[in-house]
Amino acid sequence: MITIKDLVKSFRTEEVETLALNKVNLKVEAGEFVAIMGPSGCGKSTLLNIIGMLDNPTEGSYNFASNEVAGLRENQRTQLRKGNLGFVFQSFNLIDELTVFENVELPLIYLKMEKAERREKVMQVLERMKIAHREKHFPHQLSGGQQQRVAIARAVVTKPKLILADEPTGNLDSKNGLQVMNLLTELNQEGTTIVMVTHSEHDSHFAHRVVNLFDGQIVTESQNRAMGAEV
Amino acid sequence: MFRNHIKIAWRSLNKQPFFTFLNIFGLTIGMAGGLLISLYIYDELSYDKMFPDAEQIYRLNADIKFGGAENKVAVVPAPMADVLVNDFPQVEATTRFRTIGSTLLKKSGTIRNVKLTGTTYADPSFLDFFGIDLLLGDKATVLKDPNMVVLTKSAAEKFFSIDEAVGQTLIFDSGDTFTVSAVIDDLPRNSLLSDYTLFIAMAGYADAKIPNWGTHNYNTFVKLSPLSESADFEEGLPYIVDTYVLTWAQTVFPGMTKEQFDASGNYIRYSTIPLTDIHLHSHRKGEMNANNSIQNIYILSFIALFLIVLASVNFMNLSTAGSLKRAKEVGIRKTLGSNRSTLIGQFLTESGLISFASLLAALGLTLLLMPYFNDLSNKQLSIPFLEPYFWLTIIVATVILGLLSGSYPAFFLSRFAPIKVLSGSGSSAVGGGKLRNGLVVFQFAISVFLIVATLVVYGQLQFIQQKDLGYKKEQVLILNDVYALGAKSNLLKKK
Ligand SMILES: Nc1ncnc2c1ncn2[C@@H]1O[C@H](COP(=O)(O)OP(=O)(O)OP(=O)(O)O)[C@@H](O)[C@H]1O
Ligand SMILES: [Mg+2]
Repeated sequence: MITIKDLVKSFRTEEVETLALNKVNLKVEAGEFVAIMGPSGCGKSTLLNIIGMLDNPTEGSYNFASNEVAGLRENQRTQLRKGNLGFVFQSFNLIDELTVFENVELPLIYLKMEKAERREKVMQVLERMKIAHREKHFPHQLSGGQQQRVAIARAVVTKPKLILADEPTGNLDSKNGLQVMNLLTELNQEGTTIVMVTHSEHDSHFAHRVVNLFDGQIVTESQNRAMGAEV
Repeated sequence: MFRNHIKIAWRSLNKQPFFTFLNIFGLTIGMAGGLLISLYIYDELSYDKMFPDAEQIYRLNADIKFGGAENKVAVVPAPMADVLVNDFPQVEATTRFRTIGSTLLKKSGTIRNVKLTGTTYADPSFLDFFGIDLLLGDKATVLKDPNMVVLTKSAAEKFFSIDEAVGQTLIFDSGDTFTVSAVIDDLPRNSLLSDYTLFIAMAGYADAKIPNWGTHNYNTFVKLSPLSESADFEEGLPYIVDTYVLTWAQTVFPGMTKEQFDASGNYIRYSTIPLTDIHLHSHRKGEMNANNSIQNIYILSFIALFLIVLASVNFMNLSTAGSLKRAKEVGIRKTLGSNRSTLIGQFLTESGLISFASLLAALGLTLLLMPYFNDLSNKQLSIPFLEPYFWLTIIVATVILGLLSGSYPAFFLSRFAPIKVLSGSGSSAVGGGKLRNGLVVFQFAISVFLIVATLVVYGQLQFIQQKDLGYKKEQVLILNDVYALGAKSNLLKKK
C-alpha cells in the first residue's frame, strides 16, 4: 500500500537547514499495523505527515496505492487524501465550534454525501465509539478520552484504507489509552491499515511491526512484539 | 454548503464576542460616516435638478471692470431679459428676480410685524418658468398687478390660515399695502430658491422698467429651446454690449465711443451658467443662495471613501490578528479534505455576515446622528428608506465591502499548511506580521488624512456661508453707487 524510497525531508528556516528525514525507505502492506518509535525530534511526525500527504517530501519517492504522491500540489493531495486517509492526533484536533455530530460529519460533507446518508453513517460510527449519547455536545464539554473517541470516529467515518495516528494516547490516562488502542486494534482486524507514532512501549505492543527512527533514519525494524523495541 | 457556512460563521462569531463586536463596531462607524457623507453629497449634486426643463435653463452672469474695480456678478441689468426674448430666437422664456433680503410686514388689522427673510421682486413668469404650481390663487392674474405678492405656504401660515390667504392684505413696514395673489408650496430645499418665501410683483418696482444698463441687480434666467446650443447663445451676447450697453453709456458719458471704452481697460462681459451647475460651480457676487464648491464635494467623496477603507483595513487587521485561533480550524478542515476555495467561501461568508450586521447597525447609527449632522450641515437629510435604488446601492456596496474586507483574511487564513498548525508549534506557524504592521501604518496615515481633510472642508463650508451673508447688501450699494449716482456718490458716502 505504501512504498517509500530514499525519502528526504529538510526544513529550511532563516539560518539553519534541518534534515528531518534522511533517506528513509519503508514499505507498509495493506492490513498492517505499524508503530513508529524514536526519541523526540527524530522525525516521526514528519514521516507520518508525509505519509498522510499533509506535506511534500524534499527528495525521494512516495507511492500510495499505486499513485506517486511526491510533487503533487496541495489540491491534488487533498483530492487523493479525501476518503482514503483518516487522522488521529495527540491533541484530538476537534473543531471547537462544531458539535460532536458535526465534527464527525465534516469529512462526509467534503465528500459531498447526501444529508440522510451522512446522518446514518455518523450515528453508526458514534455508536460504535460509544459516544452517540453526546452527539449534540461541543468538544469542550467532553473528557479527553471522549474527545479522542470522537476524533477516531471522525477518522473512520469515511471507512478509509489507512489510519494515521500521531501519539493517539499521548494525552490520555492509561484506562482511556487502552480503550483507544483496543479500538485501533479492532479497526485493524477489520482490514484497515494503521501507521501509528508512539512513545509508549506498551502501545507499540499492539502493532505487528515496530520501526525505530533515529536522527531522520530508520535504524531498526522489529517484527511483532517478539524482540521488544529498544530505543 | 452555504447553509453550513452560515451556521459555522454564526458560531465562530458568537464564540469570540469581543472580537466580533470590535469588527462590527469599526465597520459600523465607517459605514455610518460614509452613508451620512454620501447622503450629503447626493443632496448637493441634486441641486435644481427637480425643476422641469432644468437642463435648458441658464443664468446670465456678468464680468464687469469699471473704475478700477473688477466684479464677477450673478446679476445683469433689468432690460436684459426683454432684449434676450426679442433678439435671440433660441430663447423661449426669461424670468428675473430682484432680491431685497428680508422684510417686515403684518396682516392688515394686526399690530405685530413679522419678519420674512428671502424677499424678492419677481416676474410673474417665474412660476411657469420653474414649473411651480399654485396651491391657491388664479394663475391668469398672479403677480400681474403692482402690489401683488405670492407667499410660500409656511410664510403664509405666519399670517393666516392657508385657505383664506388669497385676497388678504399685508402691510409692509414702509406702509405700502400688498394683496396676496397666490400661495405656493415651500420651495425645494435643494434648489437655489430654497430661501425665498415672499415674491413681490415686479410690476410695482419702478427700477425694473428703466432701461438702465449700468446697474446690475437682476438674477436673470433664460430657457433655451431644446435644440439650441448654449455656446451659440453665449456667442451672441457681446452683441448686447455693443448695441444696448454702449448706447446707454453714451447717455451717461456723452460722446464716448466703443474704442474709447475699450481703450480705458474697462469691460462688461456677459456669460451663462447652466442652472444645475450653479450650486457647485458659481461663486459670484449676488448669488441667490449660499453655494458650495465642487472641490468640497471631491474632498468629501474622498473622506467617505477613506472612512470605509479605514474600516475595512481595520477589519482585515483584526481578522488576521485573530487568525491564530482560526489556524487550527483551517488545518483540521484541510486535513479532512476541504480545499482552499471552500475555506475561502467560509471566511467570506463570515465577513459578509459581519458587514450586514454592520449595515444594520450603521443605519441605526445614521438615524441617531442625522439630527446633529443636519444641524452641522444646515440640511434636512433623511435616509430614503422607501427608495428601491437606495437599498440596491447599499446592499451592493455592503456585499462588495464584505468581499473586500474578507478577501485578505480569507486568502491569508486559507493558506495555512495543515501540518504547521496541527503540529502544535502555534505562533511560529502564523506569519503575516509584516503585512499587518504595514496595514497599521496605512491605517494611521489614512486617519491623519481624514482629520486634515475634515478640517479643511469644515473651514471652507463655514467660510462660504459667512461670505455669502455679506453679499447682497454690499453689491447693491457698490453698483448703484458707481453707475447711477455718478457725481453724487461722494455725498452718499458722507451720509
Ligand atoms: N516546520 C518545521 N520547520 C522547521 N523544522 C521543523 C519543522 N517541523 C519539524 N522540524 C524539525 O524536524 C525534526 C523532526 O521533527 P518531528 O516533529 O518529525 O519530530 P518527532 O520525532 O515527531 O518529535 P516528537 O517526538 O517530539 O514529536 C526536528 O528537528 C524539528 O525541529
Ligand atoms: Mg511528533
